[in-house]
Amino acid sequence: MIRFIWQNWWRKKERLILLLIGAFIISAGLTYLIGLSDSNRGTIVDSLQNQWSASYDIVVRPEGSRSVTEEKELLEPNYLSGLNGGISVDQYEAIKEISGIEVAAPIAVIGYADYETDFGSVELEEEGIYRKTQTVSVNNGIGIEEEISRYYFPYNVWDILDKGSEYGVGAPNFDLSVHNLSLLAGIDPEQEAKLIGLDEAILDRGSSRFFKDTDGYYFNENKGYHEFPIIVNNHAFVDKTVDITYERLDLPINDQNADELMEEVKNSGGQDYLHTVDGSEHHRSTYTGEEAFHAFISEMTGVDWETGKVIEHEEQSEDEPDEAQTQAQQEGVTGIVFQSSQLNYEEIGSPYANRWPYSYQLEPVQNGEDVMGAYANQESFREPGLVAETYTELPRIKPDWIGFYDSSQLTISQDPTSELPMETYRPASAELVMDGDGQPVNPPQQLKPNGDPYSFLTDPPGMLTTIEAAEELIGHDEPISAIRVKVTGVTDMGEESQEILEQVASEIENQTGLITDITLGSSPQLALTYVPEVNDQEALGWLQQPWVNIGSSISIFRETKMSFTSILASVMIVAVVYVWSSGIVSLLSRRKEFAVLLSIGWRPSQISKLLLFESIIVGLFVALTSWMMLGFVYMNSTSSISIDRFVMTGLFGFLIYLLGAVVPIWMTKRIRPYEAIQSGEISKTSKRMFRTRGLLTMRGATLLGNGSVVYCPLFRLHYRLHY
Amino acid sequence: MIRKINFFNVEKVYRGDGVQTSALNENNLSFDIGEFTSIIGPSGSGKSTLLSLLGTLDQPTNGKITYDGEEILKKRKNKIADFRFEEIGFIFQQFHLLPTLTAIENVLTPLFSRKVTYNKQQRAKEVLAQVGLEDKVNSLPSQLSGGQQQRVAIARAIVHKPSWLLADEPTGNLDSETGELIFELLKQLNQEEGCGVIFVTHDATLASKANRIITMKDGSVQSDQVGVSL
Repeated sequence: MIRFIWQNWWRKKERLILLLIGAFIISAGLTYLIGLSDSNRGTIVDSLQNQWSASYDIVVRPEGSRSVTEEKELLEPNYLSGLNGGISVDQYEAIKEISGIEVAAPIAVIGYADYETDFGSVELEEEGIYRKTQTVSVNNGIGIEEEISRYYFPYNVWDILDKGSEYGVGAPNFDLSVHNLSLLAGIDPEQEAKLIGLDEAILDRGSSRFFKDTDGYYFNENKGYHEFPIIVNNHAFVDKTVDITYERLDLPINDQNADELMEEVKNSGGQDYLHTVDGSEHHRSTYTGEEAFHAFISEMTGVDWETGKVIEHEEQSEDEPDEAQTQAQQEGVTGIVFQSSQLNYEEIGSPYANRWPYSYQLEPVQNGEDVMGAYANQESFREPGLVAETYTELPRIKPDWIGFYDSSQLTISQDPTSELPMETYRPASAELVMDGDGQPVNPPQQLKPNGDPYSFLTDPPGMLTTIEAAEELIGHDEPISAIRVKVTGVTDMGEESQEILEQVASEIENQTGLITDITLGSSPQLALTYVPEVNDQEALGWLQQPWVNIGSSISIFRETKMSFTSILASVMIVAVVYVWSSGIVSLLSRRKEFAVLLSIGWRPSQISKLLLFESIIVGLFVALTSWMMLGFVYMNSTSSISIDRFVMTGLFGFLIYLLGAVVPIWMTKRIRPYEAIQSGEISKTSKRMFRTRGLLTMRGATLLGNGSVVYCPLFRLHYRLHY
Repeated sequence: MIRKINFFNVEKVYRGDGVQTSALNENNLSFDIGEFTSIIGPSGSGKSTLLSLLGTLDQPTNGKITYDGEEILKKRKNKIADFRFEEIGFIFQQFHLLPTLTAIENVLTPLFSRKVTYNKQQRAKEVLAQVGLEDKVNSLPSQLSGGQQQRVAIARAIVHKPSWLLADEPTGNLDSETGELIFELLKQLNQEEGCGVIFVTHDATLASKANRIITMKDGSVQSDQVGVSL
């Protein structure tokens, strides 16, 4: 039969050439389209993966911690720092035990701890009333925020013992120290090391080191403070300058008239009066935030930040403590006061929906009288709160500064637009794109944190301790705010990874009742936030931030995969239809031949077999041609090809011709052997729809009555017209 | 080997587009192996329809056709095809040779994918020699004259040793001299092989040379003269 087929082809060379051209077009088209689709798909997947990598695959949060933005699968970039516990250590241990979990790194946001950098003390010579002015200037990237505090004290001239605040003065303060607030968070050192290589990011300076198993928590009952190990981020994210001046007020005070003059001060308004009195500057010191931070590091490590050399301190006996320092300061005791809190968003219409489809407005909090300190009767973007119920219960801490880490050395991307927020180690980014009046800001200005725990943009945790310490400091059994999970066997984004992650996430939810979000298939989504006016200050304006669009990348990936499959299916369908059409046309021209073969004793199955063999031969030709073309392309290019794709491409070509034989084979079943004997005989299937009167009606009659090759039953009619 | 074919009230009607055309009316006929029968009649008289029914190429609308008492047409298509291969040889007016195959390949076509006891190539050459074309074995149909093509068609019809030869106007496309030669060839096969030959023709002269002449008109047998000498 093969010989019969070959001779049939070989002796009709023009038909053979057409057949080969068709087969070649199918091969080339298939190879090109598959190559193109695959390369497009690869590009999309690579782009997604390159543009958005995640240090963790799943984030576990306490129930009820979802924000309004999550209704649209959006997470604001600061979402982790605002959480305050909610996950117990037992739940954490249970998650660690779930099979498939490679890393489960908890983070327990404790609160804002105060740390102080001591630059010594000022030496004043002349007696009198002094004004200490501390001006803290913070550059938030858009403007300078200035905070001025003034403090008055008498020096060697008037005894303040038993005097009230109505005199406007307090105890002498010679202290040249800078206070900073830093968010303290608890981590599991071992898991954090596995997650982002925290242990490798420890600075090699002085005694700086990573956590050890022996680093424990201890509560000093006698002195009432918590002792625990801390490592500190060496990056100061707040760009601030602290200016301290000492002025001697132009008041003619001396030992003789001191009481009388101070009575006058009191009667004139106390501190309010002193604010109006001019003075002459006796001392001025200016420290940048970075200097203060480096000095603090030097103080803690005992190594000079700039030179790396050991600092030799002047001997100071315990019997002669620094007069300016309190006992607590001398012991290095400080406190944790402020609790972190979340921003409240309200969805609003976007001013430019094409560019920013998601737009939110911050809802400021109106604080009451009972709110602590500077926040009383003020508006703030986050709700101020204490880490304890009362001031007296605020934890006093004496950190053991064991080391410093360089967050730029962590195995995370430093680009906030291409990495799932690792706000544990760097601040979220925000760009001012429009001012409060909606006028564009060109170029956009980058907003920087200002160090205020309740402002829009907060600092990342600057100090890290252990979960054990966090549990003790927070004082309840649910200290963990979130757990970042990395799952075994998940390397890149894809259906397989997604399936594993969904399984693990579901297991976590079932076992602990916590909520999970798969972050691997997420991607950045630019969202616009309107920061309104607070406390009669001008509205900051519209800020653009890369938010986390949960699951969007995996959706794009799935769509891409679907498109790829659709393209392949389309190619297959088009090719199969082409092969069908050419097969049907070929069959029509050979119908008489087949009828003759049937009449001389061929079985109908032999005709089917003949067509099948023909299709197999052409299919093999297509497969071989595709493989050769692919081989040639990949031999001459640097790109690699998977064996699966190579095999599949040729196989598709083969299958197309195999499938293409189905309709002709089915149609051969309808060939009757008596057609061989018929010539101008009676036709039982021809129909006439209308009278033929001219060229147009003749064509119409041909199309409608017979001769159309579009619909299979009409093929017989077509045949009748021609034979 | 089928020795007798019987038609019992065989009727063939074509229906299409609301029109019913009776190609063959109720006919009762009987054919015996070894007979040389000619069927004669004007166009549309039902000659070719009768031949296609005889050769199992088509089914009757009514009535039955038996082959040694067996109703072959009630069997499955492949069985009918096997029967046709074993018992029937067809010769067509337009020869119906496959233009891409040589004479010997055309002769061999009925034997493709068939198991036979004889050597196919040798048998094909034998039958080509029998029809006087031993020197045209490898010629394509386009290289042969009409008479030669019809002789190749006859060789193809007898290569599988059928017991019946059905010829549908085999001389219709040939000049009278060549037609005469073809008729003689069929007559010779009838006598030498002993097969039944049923010969449809318009040519009254050729028809009159058969030992049985069936005359048809409007789908009915007008006369059935048996005993005419060849």
